[in-house]
Amino acid sequence: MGLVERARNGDVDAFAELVARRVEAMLRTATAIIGDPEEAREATQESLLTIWRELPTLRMDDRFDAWAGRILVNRCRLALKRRGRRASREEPLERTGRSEPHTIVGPDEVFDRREPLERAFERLEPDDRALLVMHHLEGLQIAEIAERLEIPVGTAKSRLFNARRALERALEAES
Amino acid sequence: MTVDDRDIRSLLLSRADRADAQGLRLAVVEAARMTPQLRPLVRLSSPKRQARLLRVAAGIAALAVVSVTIALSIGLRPPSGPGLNSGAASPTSTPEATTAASASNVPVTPPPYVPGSCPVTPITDLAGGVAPEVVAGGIRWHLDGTGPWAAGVGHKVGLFATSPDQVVDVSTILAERLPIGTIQTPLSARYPRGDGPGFIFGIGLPEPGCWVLTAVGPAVRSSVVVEVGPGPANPPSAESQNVPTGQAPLVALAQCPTSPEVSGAAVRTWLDGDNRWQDPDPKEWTAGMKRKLVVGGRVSSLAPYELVVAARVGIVGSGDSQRSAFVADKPVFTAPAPGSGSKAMEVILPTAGCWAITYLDPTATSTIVVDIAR
Repeated sequence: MGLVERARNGDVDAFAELVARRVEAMLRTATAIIGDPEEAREATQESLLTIWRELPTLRMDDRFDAWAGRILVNRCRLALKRRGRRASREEPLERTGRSEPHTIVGPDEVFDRREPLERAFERLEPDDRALLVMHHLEGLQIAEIAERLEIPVGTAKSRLFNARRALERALEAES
Repeated sequence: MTVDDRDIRSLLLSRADRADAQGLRLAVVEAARMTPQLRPLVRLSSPKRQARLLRVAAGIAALAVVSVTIALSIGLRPPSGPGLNSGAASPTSTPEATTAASASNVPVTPPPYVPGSCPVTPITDLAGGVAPEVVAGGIRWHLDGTGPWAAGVGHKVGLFATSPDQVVDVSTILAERLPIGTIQTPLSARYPRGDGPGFIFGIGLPEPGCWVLTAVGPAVRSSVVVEVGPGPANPPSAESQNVPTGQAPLVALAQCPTSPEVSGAAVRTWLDGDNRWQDPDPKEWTAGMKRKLVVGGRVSSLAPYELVVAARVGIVGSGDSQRSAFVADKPVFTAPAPGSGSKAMEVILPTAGCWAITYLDPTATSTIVVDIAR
């Protein structure tokens, strides 16, 4: 019996093994999407708990990774939306120059040429961030992105193109 | 301005490198050990189904017997309709009306608890084969299934999302003791909040009887009814079991989490999942005003009982000092008019503020939250 099937049947040790194999990659994905390490950690933890709870509803074991990835991306989107709501509640007027909350930037990065790109990325919608991370960080091909998001391949392709265009526009604005 | 693939990858790698996975695996696995898994809806085996049907039938029969016996013993005419409050009780009970009834014909002490008499919300599933799970108002309640609920004893309740996107953010849990038969003995308590994709809390109900528990939060309005039997001879300390012990003033929420309204509807309409509540009166709803509400959707067309409970939403204490306590507010009970399809009822909410209104029948509960003007 495979790990997924055992975990689906309530075997916590099997689930622990599944988590051990994936937690670092999932956390890196979440951190790349969200930016803030603490929020990313929280989103990853919540995603893994959701995966545990919802596992009995997964019918095909070989879809586990796509399904788990979808849950993680959804959770990251939710975290960003909540952050946006929180920011708009707490800072209604002062941050008129920026539509997104601050990103923490280390001293070494002050003169880094990536800084405008980083800020541009922070301007992106959650969906666009997720698409770019899936493709450029996780290395997923268009068909794999389509499977994870449960959308047609053509749609995945155009959304990825649009996400990239959005990043370029944001970079233009930042520069 | 163009960005090449290397720049994007380099950016994303630097963001991902901020990740710190230390201790995360352990935390997740420990949390999983305490979290029941969602089991797909299963048909209960035939003997279980029969036992459940028998329990429901026995409950309804007991309810009718108690209702008639009490009504006769206090000199009122027996119930003539299918509503829990029909016959002896007035169709609308405000705190003032309740007080008047108390003075004239209702015993001060609570009515005797009759096992099996509660309109317990039907279970949707048995999580892990033992834990009763009820899906109501878009969230899943996992009710302590280790044994019958007992007064003064803490029981574990889990509130979980029904979709991966959902966060169960609960500002407060309302607990109202339901009337049994024609007698109303309002007891109203509030329990502190919790949030996350799901959370588990301990709740100790102070007295035997039928209790409606209502979770209210920014996007949560959900109720279930549980039955609580007599407590043990030597109960554990109330505080350790999260049993309210004292009365405290209710603190209003910063923002009343009102139910979503249908925009552009001919009359004011609130949505609760598949149910919709309508308020045909175009005037502003103010405290003390008699208001007609119509609830329709998944409610039963012909139910042996229907009941509406309204209770004020609020917390006791603030921030981290929130606690469980009785509140002075008396819940409002009323009975919908019998009929098929949608149900009409008249409700008078005596004070301004945030109110949760819950409809109960044998197959459904539906809750909305409204903000009443002064």
